[in-house]
Amino acid sequence: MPSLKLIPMLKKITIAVCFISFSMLLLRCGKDSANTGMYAVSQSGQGGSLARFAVVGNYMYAVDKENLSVFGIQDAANPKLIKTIKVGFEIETIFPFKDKLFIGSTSVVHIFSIDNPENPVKLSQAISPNVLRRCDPVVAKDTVAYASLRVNGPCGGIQSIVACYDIKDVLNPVQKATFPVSEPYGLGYKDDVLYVCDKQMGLWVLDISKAYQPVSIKVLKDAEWYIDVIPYNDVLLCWTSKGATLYDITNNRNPQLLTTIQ
Amino acid sequence: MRKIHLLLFAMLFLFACDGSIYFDPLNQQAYVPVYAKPADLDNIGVEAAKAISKPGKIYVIGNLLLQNDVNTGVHFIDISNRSQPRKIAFLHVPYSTEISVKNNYLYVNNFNDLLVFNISNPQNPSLIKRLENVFPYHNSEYPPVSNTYFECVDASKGIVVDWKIETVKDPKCRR
Repeated sequence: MPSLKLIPMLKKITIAVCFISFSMLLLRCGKDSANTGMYAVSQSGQGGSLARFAVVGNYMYAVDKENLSVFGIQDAANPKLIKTIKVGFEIETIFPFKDKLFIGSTSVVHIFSIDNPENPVKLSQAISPNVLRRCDPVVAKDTVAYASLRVNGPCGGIQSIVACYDIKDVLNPVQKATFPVSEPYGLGYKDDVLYVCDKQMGLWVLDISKAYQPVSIKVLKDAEWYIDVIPYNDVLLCWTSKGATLYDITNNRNPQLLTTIQ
Repeated sequence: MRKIHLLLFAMLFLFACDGSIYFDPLNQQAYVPVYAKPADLDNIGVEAAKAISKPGKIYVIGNLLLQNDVNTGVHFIDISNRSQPRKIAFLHVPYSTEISVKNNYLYVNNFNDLLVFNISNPQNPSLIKRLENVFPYHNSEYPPVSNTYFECVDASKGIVVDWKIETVKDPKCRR
């Protein structure tokens, strides 16, 4: 059996070398519709950073394992599939930012332009040199993006981080700083505080008043694990092991546990 | 180049670890498909509010918080009183994982289909449209991890809606 196993392994290494040679940054993407700028639509709500559906104006974009589908939802009661575009493999999340879609997979991020919302056009793809297997969602704040980059499982051997990117040129993100975490998933921010879900540690509350110098304020652990967050005005909605856990974030630096819905 | 070598070296370790999964090829822990019959997918309806069993994705619009119960449906939660939210209904949708809302319409996947519910009365969501085969269910062809052996999918047993880990004898498929 060993010789049989070697072939796919070599293949994988070859693929990995190709990816690494792109020498770009991997942004795995989530959704933060508070920051979709002029595309934000009041009649739609807000999902977490791990969503596969993203409503942008009169369109819903959905990613399955390999494809991006565009649905026309001008008539919200009667969505129509407009087109399906092959994107790649192991697609996990979609994150609309300005006139772009960031489509995250376990290995690369695909960036599409939605200047023509019915016909997304692929612009580029990026990969993080820091993470081989997977990294995690992104939230973007003006010209800064935060991504949680997770090294999966006990075999990883490379530090999981929250990475801060300069995205003045959205197609060429530049990594400016990192913050070490354990097993990060979704993230979100309110003003100058970033909330990062960490399956092992809990919920990180990070001061990002200096955008490229995240500083830990505290770590909350009111549930066994946290997977995703939605900062929603004065309340932080968290997807946790218990169900949904709510915090009052009137003071964003000091979340107060409101309740857990089980 | 030096960096690439280091990364490759690290990767060798990653794959080396996976080796432990198929240490004993005749009797090993491997992913096994969980099957459902197509008829099970149509079992959609509103139920009384209940406790969550497998917490999934969340979505918020106005004072309505939605939380997916992985593969079973969507909890409707009134959060107008932030410290005393109230569960108001459970919408049973088999094999659902994704939720999104526009205006008063909720979009939910139901295995490979996309369903549209009118939720203007969140206590009584009503199904108004089904788009068939527009959202291929993830992980229906092979398990959610790569570099592993698994029990091959047998289409005659139904459709694959999930994967579980079991001790199996000589699983033939690999990804």
